Amino acid sequence: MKTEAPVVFDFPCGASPSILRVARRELRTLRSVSSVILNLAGCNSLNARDIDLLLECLASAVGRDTQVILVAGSRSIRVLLEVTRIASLVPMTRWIRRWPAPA
Amino acid sequence: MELAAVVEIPEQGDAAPLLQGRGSWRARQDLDSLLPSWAPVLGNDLLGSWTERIRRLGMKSLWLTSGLQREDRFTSALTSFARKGVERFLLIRLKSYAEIDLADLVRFHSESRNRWTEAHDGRGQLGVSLLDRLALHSGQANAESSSIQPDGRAWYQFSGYAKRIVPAKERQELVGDALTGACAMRPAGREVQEQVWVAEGARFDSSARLIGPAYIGARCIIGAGATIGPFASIEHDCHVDCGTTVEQSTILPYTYLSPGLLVRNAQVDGGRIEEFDRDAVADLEPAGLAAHIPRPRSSRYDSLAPVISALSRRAIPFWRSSSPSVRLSHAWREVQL
Repeated sequence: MKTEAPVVFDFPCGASPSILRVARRELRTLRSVSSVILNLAGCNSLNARDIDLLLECLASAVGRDTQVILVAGSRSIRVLLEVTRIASLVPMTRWIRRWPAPA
Repeated sequence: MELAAVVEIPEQGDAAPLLQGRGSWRARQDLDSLLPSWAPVLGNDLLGSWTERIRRLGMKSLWLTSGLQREDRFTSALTSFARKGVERFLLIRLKSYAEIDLADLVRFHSESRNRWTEAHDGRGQLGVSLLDRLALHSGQANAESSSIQPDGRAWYQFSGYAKRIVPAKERQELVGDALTGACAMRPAGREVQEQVWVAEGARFDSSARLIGPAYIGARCIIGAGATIGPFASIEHDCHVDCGTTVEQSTILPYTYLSPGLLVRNAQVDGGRIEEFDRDAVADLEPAGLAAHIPRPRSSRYDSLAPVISALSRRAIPFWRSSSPSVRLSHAWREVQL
């Protein structure tokens, strides 16, 4: 049984390999949720490791009936997601509003 | 009346080492920032097209320089020329492609008895102007001209074909027009299928799709399953890897695009992409998606040919020219036409 509420995952852009390992572990635990919001709003650029992690995440979502939504705040990130064709695989939005709003 | 033609490269970087024919290789690498001005359009050298128009005026040489934006530099440089006996200047800033008849501009300037005439189209200055020596002293053009502007410059209204090469979006419009025959510029290559031109030494896999109108420059490599076009221009020495699609875009010289990309409505220069619709710029290099292809020193500025060869063989630094009294702080090179 999957959790209905979407889970927001703040994408660790430009993070060190150790942080990326932690992020990978965290993403594995999200397999039981019905939708994951990958939040790239804090990112200004993506490197090769970031793209690897992003593709890994999308690949794991495929076939698990898990919906992935990308939040790309900056124009340069949206360009990168379109150039890599990732934007054509999953829906993309500019921002998310967390509710309840943080105090 | 002695007329001197001056072509100015917009100062996006420091062109002085190149123009002086010296400088370290590092300094020359800094000139990469100039490349949007120098980079060919469908294999055509933009400077070459202006050079040809100047030659048609019957002129035997032109002066090539950069860094005239500052009014004081501009005036002091031209005053130095005037002291040598030059009475009229044809000034061309390398920022546009315009199918302008320079002889008609000169005629208009003379008949209107202007001291300073600037060519404009519907969108503003084209970067082409005629200036009389007297305007250097008075700072004003002939007030009798009906098209006189408040700062003393008269306008020559050009209604023919013109496009700026910056921003990249307008440059892409020029590419589209040249590919479809909407302007006089034609792709520098052989038409291998309808509206698809391929320049010398370009190689493409048999599974690559070329959709016209499109242009593939000299020595390009197009990988298996790649799609080029419509309205795509791959300038010389680029490598488009397997499965990558390039449409309504320009890839500037010496650019590598990694496999599986989608480049649409954009200009890519090495690792930098500029998307037209969003007016967004992104760095593709950290993600390993694109890169500058290292080029041999001798061919690094291929797009400058034939001017660079002219510079290295025949050019005379201005300060060594006939008048020892003339001193300029900026690099000037006389190019024989």
